[in-house]
Order: sequence, then C-alpha cells, then structure tokens
Amino acid sequence: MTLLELSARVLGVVGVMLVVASLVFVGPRRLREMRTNIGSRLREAGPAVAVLGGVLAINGFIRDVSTDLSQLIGVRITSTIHAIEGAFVGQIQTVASPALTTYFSNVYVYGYAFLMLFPLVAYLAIDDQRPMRELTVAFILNYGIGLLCYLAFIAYGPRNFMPDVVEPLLYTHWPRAQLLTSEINRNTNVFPSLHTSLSVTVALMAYRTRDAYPYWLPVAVFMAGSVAVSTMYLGIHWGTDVVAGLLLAVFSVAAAIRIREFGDRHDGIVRDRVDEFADRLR
Amino acid sequence: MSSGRAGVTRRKLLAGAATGAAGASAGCLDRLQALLGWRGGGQTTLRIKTLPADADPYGLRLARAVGEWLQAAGVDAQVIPTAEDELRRQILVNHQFDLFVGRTPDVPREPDTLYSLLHSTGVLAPGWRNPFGYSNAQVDDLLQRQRRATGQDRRDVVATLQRTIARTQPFSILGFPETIRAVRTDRFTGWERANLDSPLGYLALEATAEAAASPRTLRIGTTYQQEIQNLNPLSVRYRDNTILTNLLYDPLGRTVGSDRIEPWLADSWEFERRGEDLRATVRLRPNQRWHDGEPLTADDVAFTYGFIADTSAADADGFVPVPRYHGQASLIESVRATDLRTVEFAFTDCSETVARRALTVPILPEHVWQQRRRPATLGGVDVGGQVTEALVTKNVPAVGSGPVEFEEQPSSVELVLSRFDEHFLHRTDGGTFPAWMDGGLPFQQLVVQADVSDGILVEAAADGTLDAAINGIGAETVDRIVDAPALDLLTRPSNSYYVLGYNTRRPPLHNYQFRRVLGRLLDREHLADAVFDGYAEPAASPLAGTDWLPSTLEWNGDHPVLPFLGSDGDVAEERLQQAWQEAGFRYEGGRLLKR
Repeated sequence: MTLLELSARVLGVVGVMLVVASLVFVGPRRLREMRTNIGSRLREAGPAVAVLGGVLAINGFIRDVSTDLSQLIGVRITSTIHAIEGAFVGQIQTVASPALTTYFSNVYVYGYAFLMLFPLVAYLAIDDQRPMRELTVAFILNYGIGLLCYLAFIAYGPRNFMPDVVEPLLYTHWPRAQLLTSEINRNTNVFPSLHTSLSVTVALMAYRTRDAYPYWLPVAVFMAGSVAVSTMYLGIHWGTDVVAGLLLAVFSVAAAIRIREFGDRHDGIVRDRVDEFADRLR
Repeated sequence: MSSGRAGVTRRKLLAGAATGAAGASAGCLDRLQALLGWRGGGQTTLRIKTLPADADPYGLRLARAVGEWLQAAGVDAQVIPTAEDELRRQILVNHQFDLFVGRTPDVPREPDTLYSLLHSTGVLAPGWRNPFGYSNAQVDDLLQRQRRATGQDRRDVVATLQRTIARTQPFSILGFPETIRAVRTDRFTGWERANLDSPLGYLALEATAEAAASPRTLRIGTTYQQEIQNLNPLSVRYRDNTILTNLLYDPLGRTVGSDRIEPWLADSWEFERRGEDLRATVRLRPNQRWHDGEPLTADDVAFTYGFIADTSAADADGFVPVPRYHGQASLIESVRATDLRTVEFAFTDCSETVARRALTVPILPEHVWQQRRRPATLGGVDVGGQVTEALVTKNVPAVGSGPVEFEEQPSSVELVLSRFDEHFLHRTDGGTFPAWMDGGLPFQQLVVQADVSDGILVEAAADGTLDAAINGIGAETVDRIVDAPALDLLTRPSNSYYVLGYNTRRPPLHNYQFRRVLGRLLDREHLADAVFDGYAEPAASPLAGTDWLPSTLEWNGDHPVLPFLGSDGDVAEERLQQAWQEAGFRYEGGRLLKR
C-alpha cells in the first residue's frame, strides 16, 4: 500500500464517520437548513477558514526548511524532558494489550482526523457563526505557536529516546501508518503535542457549544482524552508534551474568544473604513 | 609617662594590629589558595551521541545500555539522539563530542584499513579518518610496518597492532552485527549465494521465468534515504554504505572472496620491484566507455588518483584530499598514463599485497569531476570552509562506468538505475574474465526504494512491491519476515561494526587508563543478546573473524583483555571501585570526580 492508498483509506473512513456523526449530532433538519444558508454562513466564517488553510499550507511548505533551521538554532530538550518525567510513558505502556493498541492506533489516526473535521461541519450547521470563527482562530493559534515551538525546541519522542523502555506501538501494530505520520511531521517535533492541543481545543469548544450540541460534548471530551492518552500510549509523545499541549489548547481557546469578541466590536469600523476607501478609489 | 607609654603602646598596638591583620590575611589567603588547589572538581560528565531509533535499529539501544553502565560507574552520562546530518557534522567534521555510538564504514576486514582509521596524521581530518583523534607512536609505527612486511613478519606486526589497539581502546567494539535481509524468490533466485554488500553479489542472482517474461526489473528497498539521494562516491557520510556507488562506479580491481583483489576495470596488472621501489603497470580493458558515451582512458585513471589526493584547484592554497580514500591514496607515490590503455603506478614503501588495495578506488570521469575542484559554496556564497564541490555534491545524475547507469530519480525516495549495455560484462569484446562473472547482471532495471522504517520495507517485500529488503532491518523485525510466507530470511555477517567511539582529544578520555575502564564497563556478551537479539558477534578486534586475529584476542565468553567488571549486565561495585583506583581516578560516594 502506498501513501496515496493509505491517505485514501483514511479519507474514506473519516468521511463515513463524518456522515454518521452529522446525522446523529446535527440532525437532518439542521443539515437541510444548512444547505439553504451555506452561502451566507461561509461568507461569515470564510476569512478565518481561509487563514487557517493558509497556515496549514505554509506549514506543509516550510516543514523541511524549518526542520533544517531548527537543527541550527533549536534548543535540545529531550534530556530535560526525560529528567522531568523519567519513564512515565513506559509506565503507561505496562498496561498495553492488543485490543488497547488497536483502539489507540485507530484513535490516533482516524479519531483525531474526525475530531478536527467534524466541528467544522457542526458549526457551519448552526445560525450562530461565532463558534466557527472561534474554532478556526484557535486552530490557527495552535498551529502557529506549535510551529514556533518546533522551531525553537528539538526533542525526540520517547520511542526515539528510550527504545528499550518504550515500544513504538503504533508502528509495530501498523507499520505503514508511519508513511502518513512521517509525511505530516518530523520526529524531532514532539514538544508540544499538537494532537493533544487540537483535540482539547475541540473539546473546549464543544463545552462552549453544549447548548446547540448537548450530545457532542461527552463524545468530544472522551475522544480528546483518548487522543491525548494515545500519543503517550503509542510512545510518540512525552507526558510533558501532552501537558504543554493542554496548556496551549486552553490558551488558544481563551485567546480566540477575545479575538472574536474584539473582531465583533470592531467589525463595523473595519467595514466602514474599507467602504470609505473603496469610495475614494471610485 | 603613662600617657607617653600609653601613646607608644597605642602606636605599637596600632602598628602591630596593622601588621597582624596583613599577616593573618596573607596566611589565610595562602591557606585558602593551597586548599582550593586540592578541591575536587565535581562529577565527571560524558555525553553519548547517536542516531534516534527511527534511523538506526540498534544505535540508541546500545548507547542507552552504555549510558546505564557509565551511570553505575559514577559518571554523569547522558544519551543525546541526534539526526544523521547533524551527527556527521558534529562527529566526523567538527569533532564536537565526548562519546558516540555508530557504525564503521563497510570495508573489507583487512589490516591496512586500520591505517586511515587510526593513524595519527588523520587527527584533524574530516570523515572516518581517525575521528577519535587517537595518536599513539607505537600504533603509527606498526601501521607503517604492516604495509612493508610480508608473510609471518606481517602476521606478527598485525597481531601486535591489534593487541595494542585492544589495550589502549581508541574505541570499543560493541559488536559485529549480522545484516538481516528479506528476499522473495518468485522473480529472482540465488540470494543465498549473493553477497549483496558487494556489486559482485548482484551478478550471482538469476532471473526466474516469471521475471524474464516481464520487463526484468529488480526492486530493492532500504531505509537509508541518503543512499538514494546522494550518489557521490567521495562524500563524507556518517553511515558509510557504498552499495549503489559501487554499482555505478568501477575500480581497477575488486575484492573477490574475503580478501583477494582481482582485476576488474583492469584487464591485467604487473607488479615489479626494483630495490625499494614498487611499481605496477596496469592495462585497462579495451573500448571502455562512460555512461555518457565518452571514452574511458588511462588519463581518467591518472586523474582519479591525483584527484583523491587533492580535490582543490591548482591555484588554491593547501590540499583537500578525499577522506574516504585516504588509506589508498597514501600508498601511492605517482600515477602516470603512458598510453590510452596503460597506467603506471609507483607506490610508497609497501608490499605488493597492500599496494593492490590502492587499486580499489572508484575511477571517476575527468570531464565531469575536473569542474568540481572549486571551493564549495552555499547558494553561490563562499562559506570559507576547506572543502571543495567534489566532496559535497550529490552527484545526481551520476556518470560512472559501472554495470548499471543512472536513469532517473523520480522522487527523493526512489532511484531507477538501468543495466549499462556497454559495460565489459555485457559485451562480447570486453576482454577475458572468470566464469562466475559470465552473463553480467540478470536484470534490465534496478529500482531502489527508501522507506521510513524496516517494518514498512518488510511489508512491501511481503506483498511483492519489492523483491528484496536489503538494508537497515533490525532484529525486532525478524519475526515479521519469518511469518511472511513469501519471504526468506537471509542473514550475513557484516564487515561494518558498532563502536563506542571516544574523543581522545578531550580529558579524561585522552587518558588510555580511563578508556580501559570504560572498555571494562561494557558487557558485550549482554549487548549481543539483549540489543542484537543474537544477530551479532561480540569481538575484541576489528579483524575478528579473519585469520589475522591472534589467539590472545579470541573471544572466550568475555573480552580477553578487558573483561566486564561485573556479570550479566550488572556492574559489580567493588571491582569497579578497584578499577578506578588502579587507573588513578577518584571514585567517592558513587561519583567519579573530575580530579
């Protein structure tokens, strides 16, 4: 199986999950409404989503360059992390069983991708587009700060630091998953855990939107928890990375709310200025 | 009176007090200084650098085991996983390290290969030329003498050399791993005969009827991405593995069997000794061409030998030799092309056996490499390093004269080579050669694919995407190979061994007594079991497994010269304490002090 086939499989599985979740959590009524309102909603959320897309594209584009740059200017912190937490991840792996490994591998790959994408669908399906804008801004902050951390710190994950204590369970269970993960990230980029920070971001947003999606909240929290644990269980991240990811998520959501509110207050002003400017051009 | 006396007294007192204070303070400072000189310098700290587990199946595990033994011995030891490029820079170029765990270049186990690895003239040189910074007058002398001596004399010299190396430990051997491969036999057979570390191995393969029916493509996989991305036979590499460049470039002679060097690109050679002078006349095979169609002549050969001795331009200051071929270059006095097919070599003071080793350098086309004499630049900017374009170019596409030629590099993880039909193996008028070379390569195309892990490689071989997974497979993946019905497991002892390298430029590693204690902190038998899972042999000499090994260095369940200071992987406190003390080091309260 090549990378392409693997990506197709992930897209297929996540697609099915999205369809099922949309029917269950969003419901046919809101989905029908969404079809009629999608234009105006996209216009409202559009700019933030476009910036998010841009950040992702840049991230993908400069990944190799930034890894090389990181080798030059980055601080090596693997030993420090190890000094902080020791063989904690090895402790987690003592409960390993084939069933758990299968579960966490699937959570790490499919569950995570689903967790990232479903809120975008769910928040597009409600009238209030504020959660959508908050979520995208929070995603942008997560990625941007994460990228800076990857530039500033060089750290190898536990599987690459103490292979005698920590098994690379994802790759022993499913070797070809590494085709995908190595395409998405480099093995020196583990601090903080973006898997954790993005998942927790989704869970925090689920809490904020519990009125619109009451059943999504417990599911999102459970899945975010699973993703965070999976990164350690699979030997990919340190406990320290996960804690840092958690803090990054809290910060990103808090900041995103402020930014959205600031944007709402000044939305009119900016629009007026732009109109004025356009008038003068005419 | 009283007042006068009192005045005197007061004056005296004051004066006395002043002198006393000065005296007391001077005495105190002296004492303080004297005592400070005796103060201990804190705990000895050592950093061990190696590749992360993603890049090498054993390096990090070995380093971690060594780190634990060092900790047990009172050293503050830390393992630092480091990316391959960075390791090459830190260890082989800038010599910024205390200890490293890595693999030596894959060269035949032959005494003269130790020359460039350990001769003191390589202390400042980049690459695998004495990265340890080891300098030992006796070893230099023995390395020189083994080049001249013949017969039993040479045996004795080489035995003494090995014993001295074992005693002084410029590096400690952690084990000779077996190369683990997964092959399938539906399209190509003969794998068990083939030594895939040598291009000759590929000649021994045979295509089955199934492979013959389709386009004959042999697909092999490796985890060494650099192998595919960098086709420069001269570059400095941390993992010095040369299968592909060996297929793309031909040397005058190749090692056949264990240590016999036979004519390859050369049709024949004749050695002649006149007094001290050793000369050789080498005759090339007729009508040879480079992959780009240019004729290959004796001038290219003469150029190559001049080039590996100095890749810089004639008007540049100093020399920029090729570290990888320093051993060979140092055997040669001069090389001259006398006609299109004849080259005359004059050697330095050495025997014919050793001189033949000089003929194993890959021959380069002058019309390509002559332009690479300029200083290496970064985006057109001279970075001021003592390095030429020749040493840093990726050399893609490669133009050689070997049995395969470069076809394309569709991505950074795939390389397509094709059979070079003009090669002497594939022509009827290529001169004479022994029967085992007959027929040449059994494929039209060789596709080499790099994957991120050995697990993926083995899966790709199992489902038929690859015919063989040839490189970088660790013992942990053996079960996958055994469990796959389509795959055969092949193992073969490697010439490249894992070492714990010491930077002998730095204290306390400059002290051989210190290195000897470190050498005794390694339970190599335990490593062979626990890390290599039995797929490695412990050894006390780089020439282990050859008949050069003296009986005093034979492995007998433990290192014959530096037995482990404990048992079953655990260091024994009492023996450790004694060892440090005997070596002249202070070991107190479980800490090894700096002084």
